[in-house]
Amino acid sequence: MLQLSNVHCLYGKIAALKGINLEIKEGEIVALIGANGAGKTTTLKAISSLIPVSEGKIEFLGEEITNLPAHVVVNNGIAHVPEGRQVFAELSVADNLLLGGYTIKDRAYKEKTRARLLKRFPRLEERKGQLAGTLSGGEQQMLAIARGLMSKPRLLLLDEPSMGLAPKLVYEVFETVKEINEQGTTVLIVEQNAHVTLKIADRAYILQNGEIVLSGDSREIASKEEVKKAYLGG
Amino acid sequence: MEFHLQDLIQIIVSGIAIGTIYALIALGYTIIYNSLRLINFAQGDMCMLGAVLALTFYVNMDLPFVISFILATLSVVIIGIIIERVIFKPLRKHSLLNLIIATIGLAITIRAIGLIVWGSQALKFPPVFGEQPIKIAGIIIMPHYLWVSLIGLIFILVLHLFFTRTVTGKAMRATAQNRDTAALMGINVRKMDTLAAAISAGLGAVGGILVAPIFFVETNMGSMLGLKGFTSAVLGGFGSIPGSILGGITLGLAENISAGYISSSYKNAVAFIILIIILLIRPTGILGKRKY
Repeated sequence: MLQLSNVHCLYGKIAALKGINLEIKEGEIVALIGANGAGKTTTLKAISSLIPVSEGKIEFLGEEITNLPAHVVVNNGIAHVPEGRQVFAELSVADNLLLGGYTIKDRAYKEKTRARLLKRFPRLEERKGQLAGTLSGGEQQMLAIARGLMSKPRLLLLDEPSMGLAPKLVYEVFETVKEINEQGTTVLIVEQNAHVTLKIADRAYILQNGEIVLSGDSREIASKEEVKKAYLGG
Repeated sequence: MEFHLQDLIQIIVSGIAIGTIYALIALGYTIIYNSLRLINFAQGDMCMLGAVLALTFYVNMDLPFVISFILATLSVVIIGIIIERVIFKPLRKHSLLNLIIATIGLAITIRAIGLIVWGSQALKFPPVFGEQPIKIAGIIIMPHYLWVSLIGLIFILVLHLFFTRTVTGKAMRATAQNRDTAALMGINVRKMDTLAAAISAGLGAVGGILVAPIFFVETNMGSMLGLKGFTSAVLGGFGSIPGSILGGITLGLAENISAGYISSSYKNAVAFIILIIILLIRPTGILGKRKY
């Protein structure tokens, strides 16, 4: 479904990604794990064209999407839920969702999707008239995910959805991700919280200094000594 | 000096009218700032262009006023779009200071072109809203003050509905709040920049055309109107849409009250005294949020 071949990215003159090869098949949950600054967020931003790819190729559903304008990538069926939630703080919850479905022209369909998502996230339903900035961290994360789902994506990119959340909410977020996947959306998830992520992911890639150092089945990866030591706390 | 209630009401009515114009100009600053993070010091010159073009269409080409109004505003909107595409877009990646200096250069250029085309003389704009004062309950009001307030308020209302009720308006606000995330929603942020430049140039033009029958039309009228609009925006809280409206009307009233009760020669000074006081006591303006 998604294929990154030898993808390079630069931040100024510094190479942030040094030839990433990554593949996601339809229906999978794939985890991208690594320490701070390893290039996880950069990889997602390269996929959604928020930063330019200097070398290499990104293909989605058999078509090249490398360096297309960001708003066009969304239209192709990739939704990116960015790090730190990034809700539109001064717009209402309902308007945040509305803009999530910006690429969908069919209004009735958009309204139906919004109603369905509000039902799925009752906390958002209760607060739909409130400004998004007044929500708690967990609620904002749910809003960011729901907003991403508004565009009816084939592939959902999730950047650190558990960041800064209480353990109980982390569990809830991961349950939601699993459920979204079961309903047919492919997921690429970036996490520092490797422990939980490897439990829900089918496959995983380990990223180090802009390079993929290890990849494979989640269970296999989780059992590797070096992974345990570096990412799973012993 | 004796106090008459009628005088005060007249002063308030004309103050609101002038204030509405300042609000339109301030909104122009605000919308460009929110989208492009740029203070456009050529904003006042959009007013001048609106006024001189309306004058040309109305007087020289003998078109009806409404048509002249629309044509002049649309022309300035197109100029605003060209400026955004040709000057602001390539400069986007440079430092803010470069951009601001570019807008000052732009203002000087527009003024110079205006001077070449329309000359340096102050031109009189015909009294399109009528010269016969209206008398309501003993209060004498010049009709153009009422028209200016009405037209200005209609524009403000339409703008408000655009930003709060339409998807495009909400998308513009989202882009202003968080550009990258807006792009992730599928919003073409470049298009939103152009739209912001177009709206703010158009608001400037409307302000300039409305002020024309009250004052004279001059090619350097933009500097004073621009500063008044800027002061209003700062007064209300830079970047805030309701703040710009409130700031404009407050400034218009303050100016007119001081002109009425102190001396009209201090009118402009009042604007700057208010600006200085605001910057000293409450730099974020009336409705502005504390940042940093």
